[in-house]
Amino acid sequence: MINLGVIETRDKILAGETTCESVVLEYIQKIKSSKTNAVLEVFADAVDLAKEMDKKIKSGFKGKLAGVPIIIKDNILVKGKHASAGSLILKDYIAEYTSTVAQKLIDAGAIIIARANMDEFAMGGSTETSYFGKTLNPHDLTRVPGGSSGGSAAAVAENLCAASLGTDTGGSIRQPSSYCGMVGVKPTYGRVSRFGVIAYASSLDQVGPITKSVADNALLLEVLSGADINDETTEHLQVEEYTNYLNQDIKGMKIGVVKQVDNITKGLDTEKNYNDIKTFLKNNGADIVEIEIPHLELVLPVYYIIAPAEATSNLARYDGVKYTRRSEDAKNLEEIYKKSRTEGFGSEVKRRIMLGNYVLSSGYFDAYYNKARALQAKLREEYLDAFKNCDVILMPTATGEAYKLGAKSNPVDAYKEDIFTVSANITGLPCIAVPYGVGPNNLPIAMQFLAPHFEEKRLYKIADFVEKNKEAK
Amino acid sequence: MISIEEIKHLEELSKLQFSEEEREKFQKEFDAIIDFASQISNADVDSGKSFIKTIKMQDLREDEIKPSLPQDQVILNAPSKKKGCFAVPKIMD
Amino acid sequence: MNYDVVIGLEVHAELKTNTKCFCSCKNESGNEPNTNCCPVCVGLPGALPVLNKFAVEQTIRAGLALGFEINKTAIFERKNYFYPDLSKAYQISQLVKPICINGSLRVGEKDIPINRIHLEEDAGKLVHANDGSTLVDYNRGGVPLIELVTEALQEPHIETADEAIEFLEKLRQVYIYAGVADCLIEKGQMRADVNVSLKPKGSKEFGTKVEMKNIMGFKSVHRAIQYEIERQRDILDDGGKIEQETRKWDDDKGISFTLRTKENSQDYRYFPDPDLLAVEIDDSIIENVKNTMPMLPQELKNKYMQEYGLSEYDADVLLQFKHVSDFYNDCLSGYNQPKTVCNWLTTEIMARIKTETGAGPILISKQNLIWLMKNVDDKKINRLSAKEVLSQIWGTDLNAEEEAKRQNLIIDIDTSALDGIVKQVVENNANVVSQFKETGDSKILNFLVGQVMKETRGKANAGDVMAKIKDIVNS
Repeated sequence: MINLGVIETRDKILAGETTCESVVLEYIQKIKSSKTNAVLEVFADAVDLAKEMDKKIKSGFKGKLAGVPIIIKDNILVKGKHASAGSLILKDYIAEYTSTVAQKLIDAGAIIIARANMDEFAMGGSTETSYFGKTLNPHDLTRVPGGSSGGSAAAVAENLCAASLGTDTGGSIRQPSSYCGMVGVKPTYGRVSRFGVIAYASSLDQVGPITKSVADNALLLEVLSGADINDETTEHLQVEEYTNYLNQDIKGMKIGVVKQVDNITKGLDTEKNYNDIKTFLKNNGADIVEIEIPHLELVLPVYYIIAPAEATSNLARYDGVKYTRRSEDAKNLEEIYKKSRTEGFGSEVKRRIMLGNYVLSSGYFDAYYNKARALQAKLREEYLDAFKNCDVILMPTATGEAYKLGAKSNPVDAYKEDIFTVSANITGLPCIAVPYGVGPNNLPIAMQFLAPHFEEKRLYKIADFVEKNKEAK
Repeated sequence: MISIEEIKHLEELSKLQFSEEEREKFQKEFDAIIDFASQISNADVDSGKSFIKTIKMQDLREDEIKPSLPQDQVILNAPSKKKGCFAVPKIMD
Repeated sequence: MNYDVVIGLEVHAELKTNTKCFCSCKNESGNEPNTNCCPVCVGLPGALPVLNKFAVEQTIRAGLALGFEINKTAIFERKNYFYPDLSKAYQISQLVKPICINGSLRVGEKDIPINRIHLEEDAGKLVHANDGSTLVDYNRGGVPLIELVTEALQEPHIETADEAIEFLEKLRQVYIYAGVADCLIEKGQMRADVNVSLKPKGSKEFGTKVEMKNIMGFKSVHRAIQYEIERQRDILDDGGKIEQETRKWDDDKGISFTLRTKENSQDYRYFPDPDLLAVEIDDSIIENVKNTMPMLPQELKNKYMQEYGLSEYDADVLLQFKHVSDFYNDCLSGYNQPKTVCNWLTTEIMARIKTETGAGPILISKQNLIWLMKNVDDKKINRLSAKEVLSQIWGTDLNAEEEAKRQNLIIDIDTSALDGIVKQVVENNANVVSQFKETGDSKILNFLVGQVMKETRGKANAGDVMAKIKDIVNS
């Protein structure tokens, strides 16, 4: 059972071929023997909830996710359960309320069985910055699973759950999906509620599904999407049935390839896969259209200014006063602040807090923050212009396959890994990472497609086609 | 190059405290990061123009009371609490 | 040396709304600590602010009441600093595009220009316990607050402590009458920051500003300003320089002391709050607020004086408290005698409600008071008896008419009976009457009237009685 995806699991449970309880028990068993450290905690009530679900199903319940065991990232709140965002400072924090996304999963019949490891406060691309230890890539235990949703991606790849939720601020769903061979989607900004999700950079964060198949992903996003009265930035647009866009032909579909991306890709491990998929798409009747995003190469500095600026403010609330761990040495208020935060945050988080304060402080604000915001607007415009000539845009997800643990210790080198992923966050566009071939070490590599705002259906259409036909070439 | 004084100022704004060693290490890393971020300085964009998403005032939240959290939930995770409040050592101002 | 004094004001007022600025918790004071709190106002991880439409509307109303322009797009920013009363370690406020810009308020003969009114959230409350700890209560955290800032660069300025207080009192009245805020000073619902600078008389260049924050009560504001003017004058006269700083006013000692100097002034690192969208305010909203604006103090004053013929003094007394002028307006709709009603309100009612710090509620219904006033005017009850009834029924559910009847105070004695009593009294007091005949002393006449009134148990009209006595005596 545990090698199955969301839809198959649900259908087997609904058909009475197995029970939610037995599936959940099987997963819990598997988590216990896992060597990847993908999971931080199995929730104590998972089996009880599964039993209740079996009763509910018996009495006719047919939720879209009926009985499906799901793991959530450690920054998504469920009332009464720990959520620590991979940080010491929130080690003992118990959520006082439930996030909208978790509630939607529960309402659809899913069983949230565990929480997954992540880079501390989602800052990182390898899950090595977690206070709770590194997560290993299930395909090669000497390598990183990617990040920051490394635990979520590894958990699905290792069959510790049917699917998982991650969050994506600069690629944190898509890059680990690529490293772990999974399908990951960063929805349009405003498609999914952020209420109850521990913020990294509010204007860029989105929750999205990590799944074994495109179809599973489409189904999960149907459940997660929609306006939320608790999140002003969610869009009041009707949610589409993304699963209706599967199994379609892509003849005549216009695939944009970005000139600047072609240049950057030259010489990278991902180049072969990128070129192969272009040929594949062309052979299957799609049109490859060359487009330009003139400011593409500035997307990284723009991201590494805006994200830390928001993060520094978002993380100021972890101050040792209300709910975070308080330093035992603190004798007065100033020490509560400084010692609790100095002890509680890891070095990457501190670096980004400092950087955020630098770009926001008087004297630098215009040169960095304001300039970055202006460039963000420019990039958005350039992408929207590009979409006048194509239906989706194709680009690699990562520069190559999963790298060795500890290989990217220099911060700037690590930041440069995000070159293909941050565009979607900076522009708010939806983006899917779908596996396409392997790298030099036989490890998975994914390609990305971007679509115009709220056109996730195009992503599912093309990615589903790629997934189902790639073997045929 | 960012000065040690500037780093100390950032620590103050961030409510963080580095040791001398950490500060020096940080100085080197930070310089590389600032260089990296400074790539945007030559870009030909008008600094005043940013993308701003708007909402019509009519669509804002109605002024209707909803239940608050029970007090014990509000202070559930407090590292120190007294009389239904979060507690800190006495503040002198 | 002579100096020009320039005084700037920043005034915070808590808006009257059902819910807080960015969450649906009750906007109410006086509850158990941390009971009007939710993930948003406690700044829990993952909580997001959602702007209250009515708070924006109230801010627009405050702005329109003071002649402000309303920005078509309003933006909310984060003001970042650490303090335990600030749950998120940032306050959601407005910097670049506040809701209201460019208004003014008349003080004496000057229209004091006001730069802006913006909407922001209040902080929680800190209580210093006697066990060496400080307790944090977030019930007030997130309550909508409007901040008004006077324009520093434009003439005319507030120049004296008296003008500053007049500004604050007028502003308070406008807010109360517009219905945007209750402004209860003792509850901290209205608070002022003051800045003072001096420059040589006639000089175009401004002096160095010194700021004083969160002074409680207008009297203290007055004292603090006076003190600061004197302090700066002394320094300048001695050839010294004023340091740019923030000072704290100690009302008990009557002095202020340095809180923060310019060197350690805070860098708030304002930036647009990414959790909130910019608000578009269209003309239809502004029109609607304008059309539903309650009568403001100046309009009412004009009406009272021009339409009703009240003196400026009386108009001011009525307008000093909104519930009094509301009651006045209400009474007029049932008994259209502006002067009579004014008379009763400014004497009998005011005497009963006036407290040291303000005015309490009016504990008589409009119907009862109207009955009393009307029946005095119709000579159905004596003024003295009416006051007696007013005292009896004040703060009770009793009915004026029933009470007057129960006490037999209605004037219903018939003419022949009254004539008999008058005749009797004149006969019984023959000496006094002859004295009156000689001297014409009105005291004696009043004594006789009093005797008659006593006999009738106040059920006769004093004027009638006096006429009757005069008739007999003079016949």
